[in-house]
Amino acid sequence: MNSRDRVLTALNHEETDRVPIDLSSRRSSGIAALAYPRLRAYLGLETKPIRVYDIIQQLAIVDSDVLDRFDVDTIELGRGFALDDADWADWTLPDGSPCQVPIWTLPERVDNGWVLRSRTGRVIARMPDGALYFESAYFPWAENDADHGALPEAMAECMWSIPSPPGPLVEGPDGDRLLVEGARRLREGSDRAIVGVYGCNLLEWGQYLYRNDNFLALLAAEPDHAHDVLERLTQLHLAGLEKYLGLVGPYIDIIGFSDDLGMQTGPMISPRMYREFFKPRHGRMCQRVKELADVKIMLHSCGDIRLLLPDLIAAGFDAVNPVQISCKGMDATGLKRDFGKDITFWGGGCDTQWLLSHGTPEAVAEHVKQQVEIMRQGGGFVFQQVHNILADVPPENIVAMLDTARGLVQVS
Amino acid sequence: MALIEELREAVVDGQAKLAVAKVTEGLDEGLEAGTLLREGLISGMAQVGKLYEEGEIFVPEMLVAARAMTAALGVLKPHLIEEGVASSGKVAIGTTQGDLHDIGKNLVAMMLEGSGYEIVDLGVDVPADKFIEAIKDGANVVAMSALLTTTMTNMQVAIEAIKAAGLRDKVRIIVGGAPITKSYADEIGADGYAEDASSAVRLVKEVLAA
Repeated sequence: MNSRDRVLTALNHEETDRVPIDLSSRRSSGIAALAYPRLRAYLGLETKPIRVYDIIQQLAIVDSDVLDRFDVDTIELGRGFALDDADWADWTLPDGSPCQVPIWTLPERVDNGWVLRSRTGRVIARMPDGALYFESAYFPWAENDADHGALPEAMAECMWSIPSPPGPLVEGPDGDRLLVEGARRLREGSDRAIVGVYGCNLLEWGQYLYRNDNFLALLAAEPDHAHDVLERLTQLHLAGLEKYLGLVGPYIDIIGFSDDLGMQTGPMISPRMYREFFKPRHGRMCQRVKELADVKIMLHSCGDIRLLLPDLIAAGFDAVNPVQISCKGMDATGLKRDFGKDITFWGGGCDTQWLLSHGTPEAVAEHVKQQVEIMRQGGGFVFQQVHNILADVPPENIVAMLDTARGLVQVS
Repeated sequence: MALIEELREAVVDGQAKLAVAKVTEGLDEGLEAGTLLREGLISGMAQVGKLYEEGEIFVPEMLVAARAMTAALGVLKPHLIEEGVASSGKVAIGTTQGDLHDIGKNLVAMMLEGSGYEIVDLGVDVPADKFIEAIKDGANVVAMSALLTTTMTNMQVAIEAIKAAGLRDKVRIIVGGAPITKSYADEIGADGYAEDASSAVRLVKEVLAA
């Protein structure tokens, strides 16, 4: 079976010839630009320019030789774009090493750090010296009266509106054609399952606009306001899905939604609150996706979301990601036992909060072997480490992780 | 007393306007600010913490309760000063250097303030010398928060700096945040670790009593 078949078979809850592997198909299964050159060197691969496609988390594009080395079965739709050198600008990583970033995300040096600006020129993200990521610097509705009628304008002033490729490369009168062409080229050139990282964030957009704590408080204190903004967001997302899937639906296998609902110790919101504000809207968006294209829907949600899983399954998600196994409620055995038939676990392959950075390669291998043995049963599992491979992860641990995941063979 | 009970419930239910109205009414009726604080606000926040730990309420409910408490406390503060009501201790709290995350830290600060501690909020991206300055200004407890594995190491830097300044025995140091564990806290020489805002209140009581 080829990579695409392997991923789709797993998503259909059937066992596969080997565990499907994701590296870098999502902005939570990638590798920090600071760690990537060390991995290449460790693998004996030639030095190549580092392209940081996600400026916020500083994730590197993983070249095809590395994807091939690890038999990676997935690829992000964005890799079909920004192929021209003119799309990239020179920058420097926090350790002083050179890299390139998409030209529309070139940071600016201000005081003791770097900033990113919105199209209106406002500083919306900053990375002080000593930090390794950008953080939101502006929340449009944190202090000011929220004008829900100006929702798109406000969204454009939030850090997470800064796009990874293709971004502005598919805007303008030729944009649709270029988007379709890029998607088709990627599909024709790759056997890998293609993930269209789209978004449709609800709780998160509320948090980007109001600031995390203010929006969480709004849900409790002013439910009507919260419903109003969430409904407007849903309408925007539905319109966006029509266009996006109308163009790239035939060329992608999975569409990625994103909405961090969990924290380390449990969901941020109660199941009751999820059901009131989010489940019906997620349901409508999932239903529309299925009407528009033959794709699987994967929800990215960090944290302990066990209490929300029954409702997420009912809302129509086919897979959850990244499966934060260090949380009490996200233990692999329990997840597979209670939900394994109903949803695919895309993630949970290796702990990234401690082990991948600080463990020995042997400990990593042992842990991955255990995780895979539990998760692969009955299909419904795609391997990725719990989140991005961080800057301090030693290359030998990455190799131990992925080679162990590759080495486990199932009898079909 | 009915009014105090109503105040307590207003806090637990996150009704900020009602909480403010009740403390105002209470003061007008001649109740002591210290009584309203202890039996209304602190007692209410203790129940909020319990409900959160038991999984009965979640972050939104805890936030609005804490905000109701803060609003009511704002009305009480000048009266508490007049009455000479002492705080249970002074806590300097901040997110460690290089880290800009503050919601968890803010929640801990609110819960501690609601439990009668004086809070000095140092903000985010706090270098060691700011923690040192806060200790010199009288903080009994330094509380450090970090969200990133790449910034949590600055907690150890701060603790070493506090030691080097000869101030380690003058203060209790507690740490928290998503990547932090009890064993990490022990390893870096902190006095304690709390998993969430509610248990942070218990921890501060414990470390100050020790």
